[in-house]
Amino acid sequence: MSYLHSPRLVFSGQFQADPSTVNNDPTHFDNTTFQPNYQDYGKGQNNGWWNPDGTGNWRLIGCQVVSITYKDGSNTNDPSIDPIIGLSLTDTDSRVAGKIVDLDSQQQMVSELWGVIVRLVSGDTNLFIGDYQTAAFTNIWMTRSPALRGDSCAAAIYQSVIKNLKWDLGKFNSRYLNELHEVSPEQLSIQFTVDRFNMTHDDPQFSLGRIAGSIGPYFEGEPLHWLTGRQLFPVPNPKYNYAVALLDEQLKTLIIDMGNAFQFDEKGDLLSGKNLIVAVKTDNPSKTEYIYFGKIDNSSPGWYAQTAGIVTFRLTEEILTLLKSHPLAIFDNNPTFDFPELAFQEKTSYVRADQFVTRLNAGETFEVSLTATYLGKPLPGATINLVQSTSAFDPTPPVVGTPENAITFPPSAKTDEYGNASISVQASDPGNPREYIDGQIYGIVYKLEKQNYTDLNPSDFVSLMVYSSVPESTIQHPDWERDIQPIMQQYANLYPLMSKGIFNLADKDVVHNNAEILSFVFGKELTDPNYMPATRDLSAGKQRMILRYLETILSGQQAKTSVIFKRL
Amino acid sequence: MLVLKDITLKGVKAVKDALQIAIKLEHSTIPPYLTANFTLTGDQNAYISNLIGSIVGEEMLHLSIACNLLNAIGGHPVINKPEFVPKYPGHLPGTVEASLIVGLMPFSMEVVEDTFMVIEEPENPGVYTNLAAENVPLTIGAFYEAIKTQLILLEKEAKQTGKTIFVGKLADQLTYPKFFPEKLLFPITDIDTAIRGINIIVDQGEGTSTDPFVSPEDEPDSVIELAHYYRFEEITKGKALIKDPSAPKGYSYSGEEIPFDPTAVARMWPNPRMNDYPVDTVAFTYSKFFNFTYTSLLNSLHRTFNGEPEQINAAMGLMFSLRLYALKLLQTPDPNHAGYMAGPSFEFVTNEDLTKQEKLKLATFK
Repeated sequence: MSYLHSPRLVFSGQFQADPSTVNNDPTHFDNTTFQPNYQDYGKGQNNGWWNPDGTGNWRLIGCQVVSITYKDGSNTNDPSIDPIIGLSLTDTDSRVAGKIVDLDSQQQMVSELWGVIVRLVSGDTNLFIGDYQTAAFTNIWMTRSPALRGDSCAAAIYQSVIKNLKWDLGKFNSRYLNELHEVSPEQLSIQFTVDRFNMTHDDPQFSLGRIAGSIGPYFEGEPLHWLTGRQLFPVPNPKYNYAVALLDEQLKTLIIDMGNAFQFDEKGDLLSGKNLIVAVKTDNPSKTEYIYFGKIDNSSPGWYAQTAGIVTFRLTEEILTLLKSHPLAIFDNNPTFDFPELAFQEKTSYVRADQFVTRLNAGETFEVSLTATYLGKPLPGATINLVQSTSAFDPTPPVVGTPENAITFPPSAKTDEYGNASISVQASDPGNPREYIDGQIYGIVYKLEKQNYTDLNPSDFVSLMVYSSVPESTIQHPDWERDIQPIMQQYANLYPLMSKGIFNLADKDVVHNNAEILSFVFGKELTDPNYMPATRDLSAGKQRMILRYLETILSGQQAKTSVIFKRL
Repeated sequence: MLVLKDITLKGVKAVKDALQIAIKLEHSTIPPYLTANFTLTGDQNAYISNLIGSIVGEEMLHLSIACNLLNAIGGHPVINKPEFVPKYPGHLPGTVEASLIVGLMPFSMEVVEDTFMVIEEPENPGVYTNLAAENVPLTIGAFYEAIKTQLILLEKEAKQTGKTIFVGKLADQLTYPKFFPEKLLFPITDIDTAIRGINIIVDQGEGTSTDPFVSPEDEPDSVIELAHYYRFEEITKGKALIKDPSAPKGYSYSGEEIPFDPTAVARMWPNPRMNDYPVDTVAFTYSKFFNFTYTSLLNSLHRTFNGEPEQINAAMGLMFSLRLYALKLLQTPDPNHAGYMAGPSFEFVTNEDLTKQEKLKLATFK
C-alpha cells in the first residue's frame, strides 16, 4: 500500500523553503579566508547566494485537499459529497517549523526535511496529526519550467511516511477519512512534487513554491521512500522526467503518477505531456506490437492542482492480463497519431535503495535496504552490484570521496524471495581530507547485474557523509581557542541570521553566558526542529565535545538567581 | 500607574477569573516591550536591550507563576484564543477605560518614559490601606494583594472542613530551571508557595513600597535586582541606579553609564497591522510568518499550562523564531509609509485564516 493506493487524497498549495545559502559555496567553510561580504545577497563566490539570511524553515502553506479516491476506486472533488474536500493540510501550530537541510555543501541535490509535522485540520480539530519521517528529495530535473530562471525551473519529489499518527475523527463525518483510518491507522504514505520555487529575495513570493501531492495508506515492511510499482523512464528528452505507475489488480485500474514528469510554462500551465497515449507492449514484433488503451486527459486548466498529476485508467480484462506480464509504454500524441513517438518506457527490471542519504561516524554501519522488482513485482535471486562514485558531487574543491577506504561494503548482494537485499556500509575515520569542512562525502551507485551503469536513473544513488573523528582526550578536555572556537566561528560565518540576530557563537562570552540554552539545543535529538546546528552537520564527537565544554562552564558558574536568558 | 477595573473577589471561581485576567495582563506587556527591544539594532544599544530583555524574561516568569497558581487551585489557563491577545494600540486587559493606551512602538526615550514606566510605576503605599473599601480602583500590586488575601481566606475556610483549595495536579506545574531558577519558578501546591509566587511577581514588578531593589526570597544578600520601573528609569537617566548613602533616599542614578545610540534604532512605523500591508508585498508575507509563529507560541504555552509542561521547550524555540521574523520585518520597507520599516504586529492567526486575496490566488492556482 502506498500514496497511490486507495483510499488516497490529493492536496495542492504552496510550500516554503528558507535555507541559509552562505554555505552553498564549500570554500565559505574556510574560516581563514572568510569575508564579511560572503553574507551578502548575490551570486558568485564572493557573496552569500540567494538567501544568506535563511532560517532553515520548511513548511506547508495554504495547502488544501482537492480530491479523494475511496477504497472502491470511486472519487470526488465535491465538498458536499465528502467534507474533507477543501480542508487544510498544514504543518505544526505549536512548535517551530521543520527544517530543510542539505547533506553537505558538495551534495546539495538530496535536501532532507527534518522535524516536519503534517496535520489535516478542520477548525480547531486535528483530524490527523503525525511526524513526517525525515526524507530527501529525488528525481530532480532542471527543465521542469524552462521559462523560469535559477532553481525556479527545477522540480523534485519527496516520498515518506507520516508516523506517530493521532486521529480525531469523532464529530467529523467523512466517509473518506473513516476508510483511510480503517485501512491505515498507524502510518500514512505521503508523496509530493515541489517546483516553481521563488528565489528573488525582494519578491513577496520569496522562498515559496508550488506543491502538489498525495497521501494514502502505508503498510509495515514496504519501502518508505519509493513505490515498488511500474518504473517509467522518459525517453531521453528534456520535456519529460521519471514517473511511476501502479497496477491495482483488485480494482482493475492502472494509476500513473505523472506529478514530476511534465513541463510547465511561464504561467504554470502544462507545457509538455498533453493527451499522451498509454499502451502495453506485447510480444508481437509487428505493427501491432503496442496496444493503446488510454489517453491522459490533462488539457483542462487546473488539471495539475486538481490531480497532482495522478491519472487513473479502468482496465478491461484483456489489458489487465497483458499488463501483468508486459511492459507499459506512453506515447506522444499528435493530430493523426500516424507515427507515434515513444515518450516513456517501462524499466522492467529495477532496483532501488530505500533510504539513500545518511550521516555516519567512524565505527557506525549503515544498512542500505535495496529492493529489486520486475514489472513492479519482487525480483528474487537477482544479483545487485555496488561501487563507489563521486559523480553526484559538486562543486569542488575541496576534494570529494577520498580516502576511499573510509567506507567499505560488499561489491554485490543477492535478493531474497521478497526481492530484498541489505548491504552493510561500514564507516571509519576519513581523517580530514577537506581540511576546512568536517569529514568527507561518499557516494554509492548500484545496479542489477545485467544492467549498465549508464542506463540508470542518476538520482538512484546513495549519498553518505562520514565525519572526522575527534580524539577522546580532546572530547574530555576541550579548549576554547583550539577546539571550540573554530567550530563556532564557522557557524557564525555561515548562519548570519543566528549569529547577528540571537547568538554570536564565535564570541566566548556569548557562549559562556548562554551555556544553559546552548547545551540544551546542542543536546537535542536530530529530529527535533530546535536541534542545533540546524544544518545537522556536527559529528557525534564534536557534539560530545561541545556539550562537555558547556558542562564545564556551567559547573564553574554560581547558581543563578535571576531570569537566565535575556536576549529576547 | 495602571489602574484595573474593579472586580469582586469572593470565592474560588472569582479568584480563578482574576488569575486569568492576571495572565492576560502579564502577557499584554510583552509585545510592546519586545517590539521596542527588537528595534534596538547593533551592539551600541546592547546594554539597554539587555535591560528590556531582562524585564521581558520576568514578565514571562510572572505569566508562568500566575498559570501555576491557577492550575494549583484547579483552574485552566486559556492562552490559545484570539481574545487572549490585546489589540494594539489599546488598553491593557482588565484596565479601566481612562487608563493608559499602549501601542507597539519602536524604542525611544519617550516610549520608555510615557508608556513603560507608567505600566510599571509602583503604587502609592497609601493605596494598600484602601483595599477593603468598595469601588476603589485597583493597582496591579493591590490586585495581586487582593488575590493573595482571598486565597489565604479561602484556604483557611477549606481547612476548617478538612479540605484544601489547592486541588491541582503536581504534574501540571511548570518548572524550567534552564531559564527560571527554581527559587523563582517552583511548583505551587499550598498557600505558602502561592504567597511566595505572588510576592515574586509584585516585588519584581514594583519593588517594595520603599526600596527599588528586589532581593530574591530566602537569599537577602545574594543578588540585588531592580524592580522594573527603576530599570526603565535607568534607561531614561542614562546611568545605573546604585546604592548611595549620600543621596536623600539612599540610592541615586550615578552608576555605570548606559549608552544610547539613536541612530541604531530601526525606523519602524508605529502599530503595524498585518492587513494594513498589501497582500502582494514582502511585508505582508513576513508579517504573516511572524504572526503564525506568535500564534504557535501561544498554542504551545497553552499546552504547557494545560497538562503538557514539557511543551515549554517548543515554546522557547518559538521565542527565538519570533525574534528572527521580527528582525526580518524590521529590515523590510513598510509599503504604506515611505522611509519607514515594517514591524511585528502580534496578531492571532491560523494557517486557515486566509485573506480574500489569498483565497482568490489559491482558487486560480495552477
